[in-house]
Amino acid sequence: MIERGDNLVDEISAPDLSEIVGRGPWELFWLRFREDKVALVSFGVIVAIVLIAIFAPFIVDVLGHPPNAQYPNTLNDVGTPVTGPSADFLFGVDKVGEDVFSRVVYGARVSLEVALFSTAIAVFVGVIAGMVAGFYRGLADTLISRFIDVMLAFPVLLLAMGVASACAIGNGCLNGLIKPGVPTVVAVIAIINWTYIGRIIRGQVLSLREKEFVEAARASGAGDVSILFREILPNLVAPIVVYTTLVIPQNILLEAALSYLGVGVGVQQASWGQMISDSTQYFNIAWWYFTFPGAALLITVLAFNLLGDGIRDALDPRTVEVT
Amino acid sequence: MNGCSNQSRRRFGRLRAGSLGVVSVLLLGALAFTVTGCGTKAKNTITVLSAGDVDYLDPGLAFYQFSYEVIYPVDRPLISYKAGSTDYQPDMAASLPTVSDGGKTYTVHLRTGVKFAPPVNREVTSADVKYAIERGFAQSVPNSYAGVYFGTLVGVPKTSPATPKGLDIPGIETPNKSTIVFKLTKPSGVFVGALSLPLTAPVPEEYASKFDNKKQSDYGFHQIATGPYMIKANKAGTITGVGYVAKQKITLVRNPNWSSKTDFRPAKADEVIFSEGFQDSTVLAKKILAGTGDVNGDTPIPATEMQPIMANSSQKKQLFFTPVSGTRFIPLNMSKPPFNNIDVRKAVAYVLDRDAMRKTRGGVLSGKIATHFIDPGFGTHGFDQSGGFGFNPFPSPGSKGDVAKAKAEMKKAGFPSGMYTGPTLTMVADNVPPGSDTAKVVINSLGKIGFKVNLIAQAHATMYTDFCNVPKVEPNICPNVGWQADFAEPQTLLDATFDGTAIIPRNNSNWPQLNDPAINAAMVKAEVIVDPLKRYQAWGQIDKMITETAAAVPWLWEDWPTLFSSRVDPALQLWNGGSPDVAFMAVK
Repeated sequence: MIERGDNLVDEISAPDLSEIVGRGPWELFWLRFREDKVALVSFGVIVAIVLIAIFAPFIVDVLGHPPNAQYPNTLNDVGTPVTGPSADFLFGVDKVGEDVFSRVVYGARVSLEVALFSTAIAVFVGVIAGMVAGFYRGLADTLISRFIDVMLAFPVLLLAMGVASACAIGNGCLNGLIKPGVPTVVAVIAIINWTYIGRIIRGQVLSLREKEFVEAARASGAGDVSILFREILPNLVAPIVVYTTLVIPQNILLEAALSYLGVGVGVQQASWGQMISDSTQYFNIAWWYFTFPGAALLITVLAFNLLGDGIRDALDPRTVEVT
Repeated sequence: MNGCSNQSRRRFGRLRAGSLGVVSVLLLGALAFTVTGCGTKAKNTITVLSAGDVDYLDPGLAFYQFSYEVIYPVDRPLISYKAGSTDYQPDMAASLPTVSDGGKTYTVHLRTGVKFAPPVNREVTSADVKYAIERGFAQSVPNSYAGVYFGTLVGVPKTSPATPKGLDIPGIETPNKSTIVFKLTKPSGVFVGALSLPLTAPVPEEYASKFDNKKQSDYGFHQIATGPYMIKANKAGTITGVGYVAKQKITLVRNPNWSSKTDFRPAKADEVIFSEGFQDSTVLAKKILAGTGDVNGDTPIPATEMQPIMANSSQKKQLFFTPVSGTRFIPLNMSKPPFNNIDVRKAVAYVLDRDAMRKTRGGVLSGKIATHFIDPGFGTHGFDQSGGFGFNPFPSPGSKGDVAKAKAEMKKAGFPSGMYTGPTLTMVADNVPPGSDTAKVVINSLGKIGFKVNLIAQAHATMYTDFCNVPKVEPNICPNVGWQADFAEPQTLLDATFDGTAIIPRNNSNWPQLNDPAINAAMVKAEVIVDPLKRYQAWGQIDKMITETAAAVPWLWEDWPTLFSSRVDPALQLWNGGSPDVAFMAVK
């Protein structure tokens, strides 16, 4: 029992000040993140998929056949794929006798390429637009926000199909700048996506610009651009990271949907969406044809989603605000 | 025949006590109708399922297999066909034409007592047939074959007038109401066959001229029937929104002015509905098997559905295969390198894996591997004369392609390694299966002798109108084309497709742009042969000559699968590639 007169400070073990370390927000983030088993596993899965995509040629060399090589002997008399998973064809063959395994592996390239590039472009454009609209307000904000409203009112899939179809002809759009195939799909997805991040960023910037540190920076003579990039942008990193990780799987699915609808990356490229679309006619005969691309799509999207959740939980917005 | 609709038009008055008796009589009456007349009306309907729409409803413009399923039961050309037969059957004509003057004069006697449908209602005369053919030469009615088959009529205009108003072709004479005499400037071997085309179906000028004298005639949306059926129309004769909803539905009802005494068609169904928009052929096939549709109109049954049907002994009887009277082939654009070189073309003819290409359309169920251009359906009308199944100048084991022979040809062409080393080829192909699959297989085969291909995928119609049919922009290869006979004459297979003088700047069908003077001259000679056997002999020779130039690589003599539901008696337009003949079908 504590006696009166004892120095309470002495009794209650004083915090060992040498052990308290000032942790920056990223350190805190990492500490929280590594407790999240699900997020770690998802991160591992994504790394695996990225490696598979990068090393696709080697993997296919060893385990499969070139993705565009056709083996009509694996089809029956009426052209139906009857060779399922076997020693020679790990995931069976598709409707023209191509190796499904190789095409699933190469399909990872298409899905990741399209998702990463389109997301990067969308985020870049959206952040710039959001920052300008939120910071400058006035006419710039009105123009940008109304334009975003109009774009958001468009039915997404119809807009995507329209643009993709228009750019699939001959030399593409914008005088050959957007060629048919992967570039067109990247452009289409970027066009659809930038508006969402733009709105989010605008909202964030609207509140950030009222903060004291911005006033302080202005008082010490910083110009607009300097404030935008040195004061405001660093505080946007967290929402940008969270949004990016959550929108990548959506874009993977969007690419798959466009390929499914026939306005995707084209018939020569292996694409998971294209394969799922082609497989519907054979679903009760060649189960492998939709199962493996479908599983690949499911696992990839799920991994990104779970990773995004984990990052968002680990970042814990309250911590970000207290700087 | 409209008892039921009269019933439903009865107005609802205020129910008073005394009207209870009236109500019960009405109810009994309605019950009676359901049991006897009205209920069976829905039962006696045939439904044809299709993916797309017709090209035209105007008999002077229609030029598409699927459109003929609607047009021939509705508009009667001079000659047509019975179901299940390819013999000429006099239709509007009472008998086959008499040919005289060395094949330059054709005399046709019309059937009497054939009447136009409402609102025209009067008897058909020779003037109506004369007007029908003449209007095809006007710009407002841009018929695609008038010049080809009727261009030799005496007095055909040198330039097309804007509208048929005042247009008179002296070569079509009408000495009386039921006789037509055609006079040609030179003999034609195919003129009788040409009279089976829908351009010869009668058109009433006094009714049609107001539509035909516009810049683009819209007579098709107001057309007047002469057959057992008419397209459902309003009182003024307009079918849009009534019997025709574009891309969705066409409804045929009985032509009240039709008399079975003047016709060879049984026309047992009361109503025929063409239900469009079935893009998924698997769904379409399953609906027919379930009985919610009766037959496929424009879409083949996919191989994955055909296999279980063939294995089922009762369903097998509902599935028919008809030779399509045409050939699918891969034209090689001879107007620019590398296919201006015959050795390179021969290499391609050797290397293409035709068996794998056929598998993209259903393998052995889809037809026979083609080796030249007159197909087996022609039989003694040119197929035998062109060497039948035995004539195959570029054979390979199992038709799977012969890479060794292909490389040998490439060496002759000046590629010492046997592999192509020139620039990438351009190809425009379908963007949906099975055309896109065929393109992929062709690209794969070409890759075996070193060709790289830049593939542009397009919608089927655009592929034709914007690329393959325009010589100036035509790519090196258009793998998804084929040609079907207009009627049972080999000339209709080989002329538009391989005659050097038939190359036109737009809407061109000579895709290889073959312009061989010897072949052109042989065609000119063959066109005027009136004796059928000599004519088939001549065209058989021409087929051989064309095949040996390797201007195009034939690969499929298609058998078209037609699936009927179990509730109907099947009937086929054998002459139209196995399309259903609704005027001969009946609900069991």
